[in-house]
Amino acid sequence: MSGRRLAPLAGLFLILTWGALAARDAAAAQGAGPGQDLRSPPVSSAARDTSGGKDAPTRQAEAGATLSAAELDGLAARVASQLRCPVCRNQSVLESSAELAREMQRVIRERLASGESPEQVKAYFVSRYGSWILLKPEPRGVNLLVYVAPALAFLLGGGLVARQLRRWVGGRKASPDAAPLESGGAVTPGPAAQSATGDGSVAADAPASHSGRITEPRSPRATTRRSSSGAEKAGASTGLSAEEEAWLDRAIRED
Amino acid sequence: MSRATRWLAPLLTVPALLLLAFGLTRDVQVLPSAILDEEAPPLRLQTLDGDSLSLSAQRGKVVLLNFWASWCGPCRTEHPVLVRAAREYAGRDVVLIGVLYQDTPAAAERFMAEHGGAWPTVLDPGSRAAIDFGVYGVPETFFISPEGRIVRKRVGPVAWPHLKTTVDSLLAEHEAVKVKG
Repeated sequence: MSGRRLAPLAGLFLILTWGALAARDAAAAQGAGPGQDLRSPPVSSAARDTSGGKDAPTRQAEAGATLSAAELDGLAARVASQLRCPVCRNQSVLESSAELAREMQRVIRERLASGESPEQVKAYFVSRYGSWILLKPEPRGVNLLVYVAPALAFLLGGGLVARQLRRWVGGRKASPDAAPLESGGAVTPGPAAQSATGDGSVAADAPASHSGRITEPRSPRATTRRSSSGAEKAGASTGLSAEEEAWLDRAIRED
Repeated sequence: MSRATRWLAPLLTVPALLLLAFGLTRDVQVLPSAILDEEAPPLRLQTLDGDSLSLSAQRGKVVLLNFWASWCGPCRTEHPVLVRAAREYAGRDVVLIGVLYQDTPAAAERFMAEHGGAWPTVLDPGSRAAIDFGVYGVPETFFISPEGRIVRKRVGPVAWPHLKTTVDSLLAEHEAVKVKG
């Protein structure tokens, strides 16, 4: 029952996660707007002096018209923050002070200045070092596991916790009444619970574990017994059923 | 244990165990290379002697492109293997080219004078060639086929048996093609 209820929730969660990832990637592909990622420091000033490749001047002139030096610095820093420094352990090219990382920062800036998009610059590094160079793996193929697994684990864990909580709450509800109700046959497990137990026997917490609630007692004896507990009066004013009131009452007394 | 839980346990543990088995049996020192079986990036650089050396001019020869530096300890360990390669493959279609990685020409010249070796070493200002070849550190050796394709990459000092096997197989392939042609 809980699984049936969780399934659409899980689907919705996955679709939303997917949508959010796709939207973010689309935004990233369009490049950083002015003022974006202001937390990242600009690349070293030495990088400015080395801009311009062999076939770059024309494209650089075009790019120069659209990007100011500060914007270029910001964009280069953003790309550098997404690339792994090859000679360090889990440090980005931006953070690393290694010589190779500094040279990579210069290459990034040069390529951006020559008119390449951030995605093209990243693609160049991927073509040299493989997708390993990307600090954030691309959400495709086996990499999808990295994105989907935490969500699945969260859902699964949440489901298990919810199930266990229901079982505990159900157990507390059912156990004080178990002896008299069993004799009166008041606890009536659903067909699912009966089939789940396999041997047809009804465990005290069986209905709780599968449906999450106790079926209303049908025996008039049981109802009368509850009415006489005095809880029904309180239930009339609080809107709770006699059974819930009785359970609450006991819980308060126990505490 | 309900039916769902009975299935859930192996469904979760088996993939987790497989993932662990895969992850724990890999050598973390072996880093992936994206340019294996690809055409070697163009390289035209200045040698320590001031000459210009181009990789494309070496077509028809097996090229050993060795990224090294005088400050690098493993490069010292590796150097005798390269000296032996230069000696054993002299007069064959094999070229050994050193690429100096984040080092000064003076230090490189001192190193070569001290340890021997007459093969050309090119300078790589800004590590552009190193980045183009996806180099992580030194020493790294690329085995390039006579057609200009990167067939193997060795991270760390190259050992003689490995070098010999690779070069011999490339030479044999090349000579077989020549005979056919």
